Amino acid sequence: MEMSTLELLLEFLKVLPINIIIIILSAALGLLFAILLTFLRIKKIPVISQMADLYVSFARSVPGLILLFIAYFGIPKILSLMGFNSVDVSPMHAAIISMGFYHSGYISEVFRPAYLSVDKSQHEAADSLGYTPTKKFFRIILPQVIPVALPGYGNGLVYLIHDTSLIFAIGVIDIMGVAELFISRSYGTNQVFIYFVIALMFSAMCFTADFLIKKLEKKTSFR
Amino acid sequence: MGKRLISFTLCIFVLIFLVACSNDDKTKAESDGDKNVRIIKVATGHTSKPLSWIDKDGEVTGYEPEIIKELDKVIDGYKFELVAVEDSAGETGLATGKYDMLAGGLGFTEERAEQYIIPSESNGRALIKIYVGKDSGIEGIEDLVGKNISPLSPAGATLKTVKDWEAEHPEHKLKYDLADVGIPMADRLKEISNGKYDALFYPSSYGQIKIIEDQKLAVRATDPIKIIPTFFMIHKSEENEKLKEAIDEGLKKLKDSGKLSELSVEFYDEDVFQYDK
Repeated sequence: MEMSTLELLLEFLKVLPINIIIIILSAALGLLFAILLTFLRIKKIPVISQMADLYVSFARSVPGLILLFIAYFGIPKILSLMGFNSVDVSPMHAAIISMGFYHSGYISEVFRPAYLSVDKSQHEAADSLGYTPTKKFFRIILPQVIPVALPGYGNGLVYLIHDTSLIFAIGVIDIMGVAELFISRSYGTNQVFIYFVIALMFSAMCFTADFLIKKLEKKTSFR
Repeated sequence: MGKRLISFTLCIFVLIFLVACSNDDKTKAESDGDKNVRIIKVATGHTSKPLSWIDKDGEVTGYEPEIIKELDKVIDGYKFELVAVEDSAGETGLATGKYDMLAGGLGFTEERAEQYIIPSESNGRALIKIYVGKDSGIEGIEDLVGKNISPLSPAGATLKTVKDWEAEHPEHKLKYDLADVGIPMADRLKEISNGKYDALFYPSSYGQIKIIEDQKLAVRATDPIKIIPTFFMIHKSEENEKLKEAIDEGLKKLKDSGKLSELSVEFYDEDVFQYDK
């Protein structure tokens, strides 16, 4: 029944790539959707902008575990109603989709105010100099949006990392899963120690994300 | 910058596709094997030792998963595939049809009978026992009047059992709180051993015998105060009516051959069927 600390750490390290893959892919998926959502919301296209608002509100207000269950159990159901009977969603898929969905809603709400914080005169100056809309966006607006958005984006990443602790519920054995399995195999006799190790691992992941964002902040700041 | 964004987007979708393929390959290969064999996905718990859990080698094991593996041997036309998930995910997946069966140590209720197909043959027994100090002299529920009882979970059959007993014996009043705090079984038994509480009502399928032995606790269990047959739950659909018949037949064979009792002793350290009258 007793387990060694080394054995526990080795098990954690073995499954750590699963957490990292899910974090990277859902962060990337979330970023792409967030950019699209922010664009749709800023452009104020009738109906579509309102739908984007609704999406953001839904993604931010529904708890992560419920989103995970909706992606895992709901998507195959919806697809079968559309006639795709044999399509199944793997637990990894569901985790990436639901985390990306949640993340896109959260960071779209970071990007939108960051975009709106750019003074109107900057747009006018670029227009008067004959910039095309694409050139204006990438050369004038985006460099001013990024430093404003980065701290909020960093927070979004930290929340995303926290939410990966839920994916064991649908059977993905990540670091939280290994922790629960160790606890269960020993009938809960070493629960506090294992949770302490897990807390350190999540802290390390959040610290790394924080460090990278801070580096990016420094690189993109005007000063 | 625009080109970079497009390349980044493509990379993400390719990566997600690759992750997905690596997950699905196994299932595909198995289902292509024999077209006359129907694959049945059975959801089960992953941290409910000894009922069901994932062992060191990553294998799903436990009393109910091992019954499923035995059914695989005695039933033709079906191949059972165990999927270990959280209890709530198991029930949600069964209701939506993601899983065909659920092995979760569940008893019969009218609500479950409405929602799922329940086989006629049960697969085991949930025994609700009272865990008390070794020298406490407590033998039954009537001895607990005026005693300090460990908090009862507001959900599940244990509280119902105690409430039913109180309704039948209005002259005896038990004192207890309701709490669902997720304290591990080992800690709950220690609370009996160190005298914090006089008694703990709990189903006996949480490895208590092993914990008491391993931790050398001065705790013993009374005879069951309630015996509840447990069943596999099957997703409600027309084609699963046949599956129910096959499960009934298979379970009967396993029970008659003594295999269920054997597995019970292996995982629960006692034959849960010994209390049947």
